[in-house]
Amino acid sequence: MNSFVQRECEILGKIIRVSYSTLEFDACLSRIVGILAEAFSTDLCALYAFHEDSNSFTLTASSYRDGIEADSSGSSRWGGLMGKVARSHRALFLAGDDQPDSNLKGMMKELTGPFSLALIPIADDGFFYGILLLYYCQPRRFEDEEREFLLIVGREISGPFRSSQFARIDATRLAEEKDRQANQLSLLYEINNALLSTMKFEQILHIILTAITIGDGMGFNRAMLFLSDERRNCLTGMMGVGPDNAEEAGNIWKKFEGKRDKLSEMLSSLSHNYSPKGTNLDERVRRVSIPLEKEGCILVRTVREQKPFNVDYGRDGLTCREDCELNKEINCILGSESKVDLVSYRFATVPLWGREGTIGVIVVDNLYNQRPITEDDIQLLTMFTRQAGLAIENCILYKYLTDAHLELKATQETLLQSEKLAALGEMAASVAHEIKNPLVSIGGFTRRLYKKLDNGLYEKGYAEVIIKEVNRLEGILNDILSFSNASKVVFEKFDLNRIIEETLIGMEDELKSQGIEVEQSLDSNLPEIPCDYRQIKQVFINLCSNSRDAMAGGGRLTVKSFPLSQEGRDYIGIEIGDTGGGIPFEVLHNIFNPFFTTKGWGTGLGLAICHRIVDGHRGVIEVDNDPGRGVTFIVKLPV
Amino acid sequence: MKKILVVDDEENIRLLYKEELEEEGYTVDVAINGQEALDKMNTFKPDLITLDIKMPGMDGVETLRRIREVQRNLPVILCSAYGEYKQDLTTWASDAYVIKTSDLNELKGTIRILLLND
Ligand SMILES: Nc1ncnc2c1ncn2[C@@H]1O[C@H](COP(=O)(O)OP(=O)(O)OP(=O)(O)O)[C@@H](O)[C@H]1O
Ligand SMILES: [Mg+2]
Repeated sequence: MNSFVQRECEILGKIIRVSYSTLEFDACLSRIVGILAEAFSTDLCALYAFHEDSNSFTLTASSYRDGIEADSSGSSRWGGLMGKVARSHRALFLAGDDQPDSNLKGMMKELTGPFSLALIPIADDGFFYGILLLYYCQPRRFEDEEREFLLIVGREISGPFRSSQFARIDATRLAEEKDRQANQLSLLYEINNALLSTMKFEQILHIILTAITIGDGMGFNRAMLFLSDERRNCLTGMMGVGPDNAEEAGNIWKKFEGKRDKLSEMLSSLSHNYSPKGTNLDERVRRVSIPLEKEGCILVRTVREQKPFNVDYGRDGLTCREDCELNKEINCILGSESKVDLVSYRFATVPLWGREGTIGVIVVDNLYNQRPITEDDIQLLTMFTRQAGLAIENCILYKYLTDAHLELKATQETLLQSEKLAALGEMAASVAHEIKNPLVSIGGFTRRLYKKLDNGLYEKGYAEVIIKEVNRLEGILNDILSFSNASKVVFEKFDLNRIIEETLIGMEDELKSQGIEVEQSLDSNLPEIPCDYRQIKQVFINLCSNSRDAMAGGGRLTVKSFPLSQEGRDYIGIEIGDTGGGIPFEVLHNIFNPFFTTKGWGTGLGLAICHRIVDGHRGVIEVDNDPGRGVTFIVKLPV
Repeated sequence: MKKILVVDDEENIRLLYKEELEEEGYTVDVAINGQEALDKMNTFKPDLITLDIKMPGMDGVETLRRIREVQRNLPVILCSAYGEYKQDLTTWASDAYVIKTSDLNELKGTIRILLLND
């Protein structure tokens, strides 16, 4: 007994020494196999390594007596038995004279003749690395001591297996890591390209959120973006991208699978013809507004503390559940229709960085496939949101700039316009004045002539022509003169309704004869306002005349008056609308220009005069044009 | 027979007004500027004056003021090419204000009414 133990110790000592030697893995195993073959006088001793991924064995070392056929795969003869060991992590001994278990019988069919074998798992702490095989061509009993000893050996050999596996895992890990990093870099590059392709705010947001959700991008199920609104001191939902339910999610992911090389192309094209608008999620996100004072809210914390959060709802026991805006609007990011177990729900938040601190936050989750969010995910997302934040900030700045520029241009144009008009008015007035007196003489004397000529004389016809033409010229002169005079206003308190009514009475006959129906709705409670009666009447006459001209074949003229408040000031609004087909888009920007007309007989001063008069009253005149239908002019005069 | 004094610096206008108003049955005299108008007030003694606003030297507004100093209640019609002085006149209160046109019907109507009131 003692000698047996001593022998065991010797063998084990040898094995351990080999195990911890600096030998290569294969050489080390060969030695071990050799030691065991000798110590146990086996016909065949072999080590098989187990591969978990393919669930198979490979022969890594063997030692056999001459005449014994080497079996390089092992699995072909004892595959079934080895599988059993792999599954149970328990040794298997066949002594040849034993009656094998009935459930082993089937597996043993091929194994003919007397033989015995031991299959020892190479395992430690539940890890299974492979199998040690001892094989004899004759029946052989395995004593209890031997069995125990072999189990110890099996555990001991797991050492070299473990270190070799670690080495292998490390290598693959490293390679994978490299791959992943390369992938991430190219992903970031692609997304960046897409972001550079546009300066449109909505499009930028959409690209960002799509990149986060696309399967070949970061692959989150849903992404939502919030920006801090400093003026209102809150976080405002800007956009949400993600399917509204699991089924839709599946479809979308399938569609995008494996299109990675086109990612940037796809991202930018996607945004041209697809917008998240109208999806449930997007609508809900846009309704969310979270006060920045709400310190318990995880979104607010993300912005304030400027760091990402990876939240496990069940584990972290959030305190913000009760009155959370998100909870109200998005059922705390859970789609209300999906039955997700709150306990296992996870989401992550990452701050959006601008040049000077955070400008918002992105929220992601994996609502539909429940994939856990790893630190790697967060890291990539963080890397990405640094770019995204800058892109958004650029875009906002750009928008401010464009807006400011447009405003400047508009102001400049109005300035130019009024200056031009003033100069034109001055000149027109002096010319008109010089022409006025001669015209009065010509017209006046022609009328006298006309009166003196006998009826029927054809000279009387000539006189008539002159009278008419002089009338026309005088009309034009009056237009020009009232245009240049429009800024000189004589203010008296007047009831605008009365002026409107008088205007309409004056035009009643011509409107009727043209088949134009007049619809009046005047608010009788309007206050009187200071205005120049003649000028305001002129405005109404000009507007109504234009409508009349536009409705040569009949139609409806609608005249309304109503009180209105705008930017804290009270106005009276007057609307004059018609059904005359409206103003073609190409000419719309010209209609207030003096001398612009599309009518053969017009002077083109009608609206220019209106504009000046209303300006002189510190009011505004607006056009509501409905091409194909009609146009409504709105005059707003301050009370 | 009522007498009307037409004040205008343009000869043709004077002639036109004179002939047209005479045809209406008035006695008409003319003045070519404000000073002459003031002079003729004493000699001609008109019942009504039509006064052009834009005249060289003393213009219509000034003439009107001087007329008012002499004769507070004499009807005066201001005629102008356009409404250039309307704003000032709200304080000056002429009896009427007519914009010149080749069609004298408005002027004639105004004269008739003013003389009726007289
Ligand atoms: N109610 C309307 N419906 C359709 N087009 C309109 C209307 N009002 C104005 N316009 C368009 O705007 C142009 C300018 O109008 P505006 O009153 O300034 O000049 P006009 O009517 O042509 O000439 P004028 O008024 O001097 O006789 C018109 O020629 C017409 O083309
Ligand atoms: Mg017009």
